[in-house]
Amino acid sequence: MLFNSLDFLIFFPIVVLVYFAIPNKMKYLWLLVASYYFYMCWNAKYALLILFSTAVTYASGILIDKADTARQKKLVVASSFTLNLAVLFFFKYCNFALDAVGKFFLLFHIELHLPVFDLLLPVGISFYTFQALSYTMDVYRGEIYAEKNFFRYALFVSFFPQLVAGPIERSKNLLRQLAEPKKFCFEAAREGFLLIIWGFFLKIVLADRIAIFVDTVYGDYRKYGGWYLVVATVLFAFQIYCDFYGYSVIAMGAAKILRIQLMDNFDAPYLSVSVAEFWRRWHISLTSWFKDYLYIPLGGSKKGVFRKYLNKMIVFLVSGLWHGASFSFVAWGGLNGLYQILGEALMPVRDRLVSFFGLRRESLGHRLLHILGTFVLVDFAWIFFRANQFTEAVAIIKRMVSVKNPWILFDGSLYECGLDQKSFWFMIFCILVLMVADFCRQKGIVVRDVILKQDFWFRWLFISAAVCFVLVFGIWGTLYDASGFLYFQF
Amino acid sequence: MKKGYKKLLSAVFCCAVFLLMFTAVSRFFMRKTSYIKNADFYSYEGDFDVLFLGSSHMVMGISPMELWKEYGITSYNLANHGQWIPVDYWALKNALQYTTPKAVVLDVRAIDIDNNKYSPEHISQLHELFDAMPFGKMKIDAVKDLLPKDKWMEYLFNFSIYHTRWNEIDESFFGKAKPSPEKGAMLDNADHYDEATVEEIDPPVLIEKDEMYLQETTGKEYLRKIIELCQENEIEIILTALPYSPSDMYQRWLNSAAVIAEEYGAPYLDYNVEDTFVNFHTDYFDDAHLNSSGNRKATFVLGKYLAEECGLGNSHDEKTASVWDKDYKKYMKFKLNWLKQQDSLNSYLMLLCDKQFDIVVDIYNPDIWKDPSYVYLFENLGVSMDQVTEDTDCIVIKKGGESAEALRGFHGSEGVVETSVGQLGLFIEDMDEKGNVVSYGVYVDEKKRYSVPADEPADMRILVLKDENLKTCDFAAFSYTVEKQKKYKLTTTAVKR
Repeated sequence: MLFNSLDFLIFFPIVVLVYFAIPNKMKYLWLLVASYYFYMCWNAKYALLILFSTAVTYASGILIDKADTARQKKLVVASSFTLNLAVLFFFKYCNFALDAVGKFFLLFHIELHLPVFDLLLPVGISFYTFQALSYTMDVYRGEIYAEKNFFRYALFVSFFPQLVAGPIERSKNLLRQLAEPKKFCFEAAREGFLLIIWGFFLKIVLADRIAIFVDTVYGDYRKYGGWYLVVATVLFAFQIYCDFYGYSVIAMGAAKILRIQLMDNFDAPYLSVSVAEFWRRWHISLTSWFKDYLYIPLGGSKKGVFRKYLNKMIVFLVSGLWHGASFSFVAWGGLNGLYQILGEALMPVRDRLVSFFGLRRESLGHRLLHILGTFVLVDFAWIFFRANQFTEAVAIIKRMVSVKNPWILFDGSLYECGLDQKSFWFMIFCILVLMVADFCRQKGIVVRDVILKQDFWFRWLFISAAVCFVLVFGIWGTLYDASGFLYFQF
Repeated sequence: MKKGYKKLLSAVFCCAVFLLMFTAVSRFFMRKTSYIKNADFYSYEGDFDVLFLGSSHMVMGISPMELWKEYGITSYNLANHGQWIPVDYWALKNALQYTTPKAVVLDVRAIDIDNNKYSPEHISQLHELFDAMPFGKMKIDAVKDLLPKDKWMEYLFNFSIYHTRWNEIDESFFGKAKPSPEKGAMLDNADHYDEATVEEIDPPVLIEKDEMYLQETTGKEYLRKIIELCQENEIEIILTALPYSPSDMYQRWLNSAAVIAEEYGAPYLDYNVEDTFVNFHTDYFDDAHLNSSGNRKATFVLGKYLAEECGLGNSHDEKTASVWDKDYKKYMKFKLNWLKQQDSLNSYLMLLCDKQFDIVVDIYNPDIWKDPSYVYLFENLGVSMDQVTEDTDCIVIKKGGESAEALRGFHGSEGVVETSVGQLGLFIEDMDEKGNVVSYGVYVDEKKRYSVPADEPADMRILVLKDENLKTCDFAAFSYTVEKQKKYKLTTTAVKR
């Protein structure tokens, strides 16, 4: 079940109504049933995988609690990680690994006939596996107690708002909240509802609209070269942001109505002044997961400069793989890792240049230049993220630089890439709205608080108009084709 | 508690504001055509005598307003383009919630369709039926029966498609749409085309009426359902096949309707016969659909059957009659407006085949008689070519073709000629100092009808008068032109249309 589906619009109010109507003791059970139903709407059989992951990590928590020696504890952690990652590997990376092995041997002219598994990637498997593993690790580190109630723990792994696309919650935050359900709060529900509207704006008004342009150009990159690809790549940066951010915001809003606070997953990332900062503000729950459970265990920055750079590169390569089983994702991760390493390595040179030219780092121009530079670097890496294969990404970059057609920015050609002139400029307008909202966030202004502080009549009008706006301008339902309504054919 | 009550009230009011706003927004974006076609049906307070159902053949083929004028039968045309028989079934079932007609006439053209309940090519046309249909169980049942699941939302909640029209907003989105005066019919698709159309088509090669396809189809299944629905409600059901040029195959399908009609004891009126009432030179919009001229003829033939065999018509109380007469005036205005939009002579002559009009045709160029298409159109107006000669300079047509007379020497005379439409006169209106005619006028019953400068070129001038009180309806001048391949095209005149 997707958030932007009619099913969810029926499902969610029912979940909320029942949740607040039943006694506290039963609330988590109801949410568990709802979460499994939510997941099973997609594929009932794959709910067994969540159950498996839940059972393994639940047992790991109990066993770590009961283990007497550090060695035993480590053994349990290792077992939990192995079992969970094995399932993840099988479903997500098996075919990719076999293909890579085959290609490797082909370099030596050895042709292997490896099997290809016909597997459907279980939705959200990367998210809930990481969330479950964080629990094992947190119990091992003594940061939380092992959860005794299996069903409550099962809810922690499968909590529907963040089950399929994050944020990847920590047991410290979510388990505690699930154990202490709160009463219905009008203010929280209202705030959650505003968050959901904002999320839908990002997802169906912006991301899905940008996708039409990007898919048209990237889908036929041999036809569209040069500036078409540049524009599509810039737009893709916003598409992926709005898509992911929108989904996270809806998840936060839905959870807020249930009086559960999920962590913020994005913090105006395109206003970052460096790639390192970008990664602190982009998909925060995943970045922090990698930091806490991979980067630090690898030694972090405490084992010398080389190890620090190596650890960073490992984290980004794994992050690339986490996003998708393909070399293009590895390249995307590697490129981001490289940006950071180069950024740090060249810092003394940059400092000297700044000092030599007497530049002021806090000046608006300097900041804008950094924001733009960061965006260009991040956006360039997105090409590898968006392309279907590594070789396709390389071909796209070649087409981008080899075709010279700047006039398409002015002669109306851009309006023939799936969005007509009005839709195109409406999309640009909405991107500006998003950037203004991000700028406000950067300045500590919470727009929804500003709205909620207004008089009742303004709030009513604003909320109603916002919902109508999303319904009118969102990409949903059937696309109206005037020609179908003409009477020239009988 | 008090605070909680206040919050609840706040939420309720916010929802109310949203619902109001959303209703306004949905109405704004909704296509108005379904409302335009069906509003008069839903708002009608009495029972209709007849409901017409079928596909494009029927919606273009029968005019309820002409039926009222000629026979005093009240009716509504619920047919639509690409509306197959299963859709007709639901259109009728829904209609019976609002009216109980004495008879239902169904065109069986779509009897052959199978495995599909709607025409995929015309799926958008279903909005014409569903958009105006009030939301309720009937609508849900109809949508569920006719359409696949992925289309339900589009028809039950049409905002899901119309909201994407935001980038097409134009004048038509604003203001209230007026119901069509045609009572569901669509003459020549007048709402959607600039010009009425005359297409000469080949008559069908008729086969024997006992040659037919007997296999069952979805069309036949729903045809039976319609007959049973009517018979359950004691409504006379009449099956018909309006005239067109059906292929052998279609004739076999049409012939099979007779078997079903006989099975249920229902009449079947197949007008695809040897001595048909239609003129294949003048009465068709295209090779399958009647134009306005053909529509009127079909309406009168079917109306005669309904009046004589079913005993319908001319039995309405004064209130009903006055409402329909008033509606007919609106319809007449619509017809005149449509006539005035025409700029080609053949469309114009075709539309003049209307009992409401008396016509004076002023001819300045006899070359027109060399083109057979115009000859057919004049014959369609009751003009016999035996009457017409090279020096015929005026033709007077009574009641759109009831009688016609050809005059000679009219242009040379400066007196009054007695004709079937009244006293016709040509008068010099203005002369210059040298005694040359600057402008002249044409009078009917001593009332000036038009005046034109003497040097204004025109091959033909047509004066249209409304039959009862000889009120001038239109005046148009046509000249020969090769532009756009319209041989005679409207030219500018000194008289405003």
